[in-house]
Amino acid sequence: VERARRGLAPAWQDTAFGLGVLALASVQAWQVLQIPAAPIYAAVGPSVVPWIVVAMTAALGLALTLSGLRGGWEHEDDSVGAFDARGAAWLGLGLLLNLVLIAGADLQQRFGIPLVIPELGFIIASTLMFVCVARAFGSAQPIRDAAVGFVLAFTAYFGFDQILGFRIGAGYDAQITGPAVALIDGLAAGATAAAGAVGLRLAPDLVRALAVGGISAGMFTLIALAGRLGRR
Amino acid sequence: METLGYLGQGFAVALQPQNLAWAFAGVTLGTAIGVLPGLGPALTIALLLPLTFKVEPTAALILFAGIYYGAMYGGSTTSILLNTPGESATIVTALEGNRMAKSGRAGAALATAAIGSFVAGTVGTIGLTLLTVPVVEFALRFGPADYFALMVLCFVTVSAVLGKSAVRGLTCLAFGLFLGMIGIDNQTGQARFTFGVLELLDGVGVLIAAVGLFAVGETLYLAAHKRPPEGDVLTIRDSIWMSREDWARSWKPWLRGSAVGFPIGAMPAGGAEIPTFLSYWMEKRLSKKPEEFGTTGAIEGVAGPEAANNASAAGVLVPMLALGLPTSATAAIMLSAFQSYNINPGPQLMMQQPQVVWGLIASLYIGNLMLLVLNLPLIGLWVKILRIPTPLLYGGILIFATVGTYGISRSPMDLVILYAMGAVGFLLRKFDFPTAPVIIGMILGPMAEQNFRQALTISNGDYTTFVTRPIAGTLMALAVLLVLAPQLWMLWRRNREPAPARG
Repeated sequence: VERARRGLAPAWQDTAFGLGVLALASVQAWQVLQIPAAPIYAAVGPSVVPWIVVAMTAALGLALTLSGLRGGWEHEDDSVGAFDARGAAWLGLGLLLNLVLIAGADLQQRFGIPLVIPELGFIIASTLMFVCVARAFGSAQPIRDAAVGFVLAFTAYFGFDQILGFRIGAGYDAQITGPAVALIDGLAAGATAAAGAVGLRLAPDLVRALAVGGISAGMFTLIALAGRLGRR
Repeated sequence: METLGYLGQGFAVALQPQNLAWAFAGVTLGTAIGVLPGLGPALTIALLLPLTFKVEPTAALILFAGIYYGAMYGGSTTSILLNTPGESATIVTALEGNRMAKSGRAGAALATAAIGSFVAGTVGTIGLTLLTVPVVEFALRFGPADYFALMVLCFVTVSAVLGKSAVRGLTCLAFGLFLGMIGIDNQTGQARFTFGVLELLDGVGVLIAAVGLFAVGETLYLAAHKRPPEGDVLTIRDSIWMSREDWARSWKPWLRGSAVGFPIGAMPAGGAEIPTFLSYWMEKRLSKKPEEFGTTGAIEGVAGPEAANNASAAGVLVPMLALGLPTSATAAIMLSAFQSYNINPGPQLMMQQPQVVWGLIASLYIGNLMLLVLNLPLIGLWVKILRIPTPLLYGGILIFATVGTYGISRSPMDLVILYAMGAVGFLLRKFDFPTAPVIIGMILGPMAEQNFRQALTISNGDYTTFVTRPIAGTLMALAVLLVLAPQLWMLWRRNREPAPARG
């Protein structure tokens, strides 16, 4: 059992955490009650082990609550700096923007939210998230952040969509990457043909991966150069 | 000598040119991502996993092997130069290594860590080679009840014995068990804990949960706390070639660290923290220059713990490959990666597809050698990666966490789960709960349940099967003992010397 370490006054945050675990246990119990009986014979039905977990969660929630009332437990957190609401808010905003802008249409449909959320696609959404995250960590250069974020999001999208073949495009993704796709297709075809003439067979995926790497490296170099010029 | 034949076949697989290329890609990427402050091996593997989706299984496993060892190397570089250990097992390396770097001996610290990792990795991999077959042969005698008891033992040690607090560790384990049960019950086809959400019928992905807990949670936590500005990345002023004295002071700690790390890592209890701290304590006792510990930095204090850390990383693979039992968060993520290829580690895999396991083991040897050749000469590159400004680093981590989650499934629900797990990770970190038991409970829970139900089916519902079978009974007794022993010890001590009355 956790022992009181901060004296005898209840630690309300720790108590709240314990109550939260108890609440989780009751939600779980409600869900276990929804499990229908097994249609086929089973020595151990589908709800036996879930009940064990519910009992475990409830017992631990109780122990944590009692421990909280008796003064709580020691947090490594105590040695870290004070809570920074500004940082937390920027980061939360970044995650929310990303979620809404990528999956807005789906969320609207599911929850019937009557908002008109534009689906801007992965690249724009992730760039905005990047700017917010950088801001949360104290960056004061939103333009640089947007540029770096764009290149990263572009590269990530490209890698997934064009090389690994997961079609994640939505919104404006196709428009943004259109010229690059054409360029890479051209490069890949050229390289394969050139290699073929010498008698080499290149894996098309490898050529594309190299092309994507080259394009993002080029963009990063441009950003770095622009940053250096800007500082002069 | 059967083992040598298998290993030979493994090398035949691993030495094929394209597999060598995969091993090379794995160690390089693993080091590059592992160097990033705050990214431990578990998260590195989880973030790089999508890369392997288009690759055939054998090559993918070789890639994982490289990433695993590479991430370990990268982590030690960060601890030495920046003093922000990516995971608890490298705290000790940071302790002495960072002090050495501050007193101008960064090169020697990096070199002894790299060579020590190589020595320990090789010793550990040899141990893995020798131990896997006997463990598998023993495990073939296990019935479902025995497996269940083994898993209970693993749960208990990972959550209740190794951490700071049994209650908090078990809370996280219970949460992991709950997450693991979400979805369709394999045996009866009933939906459990799905809250009426269609996507939850397939369950919650271990990788999404891990990336959410480790990457999103950690980022949230760091953003939400004002911290003193981080120290600069220390520059390397001395040579990365160790002096004669450095060698003389390093080789014994390497071997001692390996000897401590591997066996502890290979036990179903697992964990790299105990062996690294044990090795540190040992080296401090044995050192001829104990005054350097905690002041200018002692090379033994880097060599020993770093070797122990890497040897235990190899040791963790013994229960993972031979029994299918993950005893660390990293092993749990590797196991779920294997499962995505329909490869289920355990005795059956060794019997049916030995080439997969031995190809993996052989590439551990190769990857380890590659790292020795790569790591020190490329140190300039790793330092550049270390200098990425924090705002850009965490922005980038979140972009890749998002694309890795959403990109594979295209399911908005996965994105919601990712960020929700991030919030959970934030709370766990804030209230000082360990995260590894969540992941281990999540992946091991369903297996434990399956064995539990099979055992009871075999015994016609007789619960005594878990204590009357010799193997199961022993393991269960051990688990109970591990939970009760510390409590009894406290009680005994309290009775012997009555606590002073509170004033």
